[in-house]
Amino acid sequence: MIKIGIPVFPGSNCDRDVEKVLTTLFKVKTEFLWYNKEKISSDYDAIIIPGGFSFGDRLRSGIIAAHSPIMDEVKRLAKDGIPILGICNGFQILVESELLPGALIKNDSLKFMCKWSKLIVKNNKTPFTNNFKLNQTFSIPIANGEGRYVADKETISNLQKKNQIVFQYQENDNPGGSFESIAGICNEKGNVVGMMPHPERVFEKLLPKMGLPQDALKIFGSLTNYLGKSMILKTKIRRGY
Amino acid sequence: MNQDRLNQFKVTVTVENKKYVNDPEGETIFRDLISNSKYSGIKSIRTAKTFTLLVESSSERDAIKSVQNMCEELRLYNPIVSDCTVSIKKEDQ
Repeated sequence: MIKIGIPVFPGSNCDRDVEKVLTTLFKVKTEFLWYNKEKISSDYDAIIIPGGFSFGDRLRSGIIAAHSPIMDEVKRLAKDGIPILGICNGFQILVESELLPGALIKNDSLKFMCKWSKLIVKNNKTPFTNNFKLNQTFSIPIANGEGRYVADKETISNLQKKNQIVFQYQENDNPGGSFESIAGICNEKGNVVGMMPHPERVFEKLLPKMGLPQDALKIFGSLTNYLGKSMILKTKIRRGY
Repeated sequence: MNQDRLNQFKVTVTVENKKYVNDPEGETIFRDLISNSKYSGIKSIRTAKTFTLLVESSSERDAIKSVQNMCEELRLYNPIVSDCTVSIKKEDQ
């Protein structure tokens, strides 16, 4: 059975939402991993770092969490090619851990932005986007104060060259003022993805605006699809065909 | 015992956005507070974050060096978006 680890830090607040989507909709097993765990087993098929305000956003969003013991383990799994997704504060933790390039700073409005946004899928080859069509658009809520993705010119052009921009905000809707309207990126290998918007918040039927499809859930569907396939592959190898 | 006497130093660390990252807080302060006041000589403003550290060290140089190393290693500042300057003032005994 697919097993997904959810690291939890003091101040995480979307951990249970992620768990609920995964267990009720996709019927996979999840385990919460407390931030000071120094060793985790290698049998996690994926890691999802949830949103929230780890360590009260002290110093900078994500920086203290990035130095906590569990992140050494997440780095180890990332190196092994295990899919890792960081949502919102999870994305901030991934950039502060240097698992992803660039930085997330205060929105140029200086406001906490909480609203529905529209994303464009720019890379549908990652474990978290393979159920989308390329350039597909979908609605998703954002909720952040430091969601403005910035990086120097060289990093941005590398992201573009290596197809590491996973999600962009739609034209004229770049809530934080991100460079290149970036909402989500991945590492070079593609197994580590970070995104500011909250796909898990699309799950509760009461939350999406009337009539909006729950397409954002394809992010989790892509993962189970990817893991399902790789599991079949593992079994095939074991059986010798 | 022939041990180096440790002195206390007050070390100041200033973290400021690099030029390529604009500073909306500073821009707002300038546009809405300063530019329409009588202080017309002030032409721009950048905000920064300051940390004051008390450091025990045998010399000023070592104190600065260790704070610089700490800033790099623990990422007190984010080198992607910010510049960091470390300065010192010997603590009055």
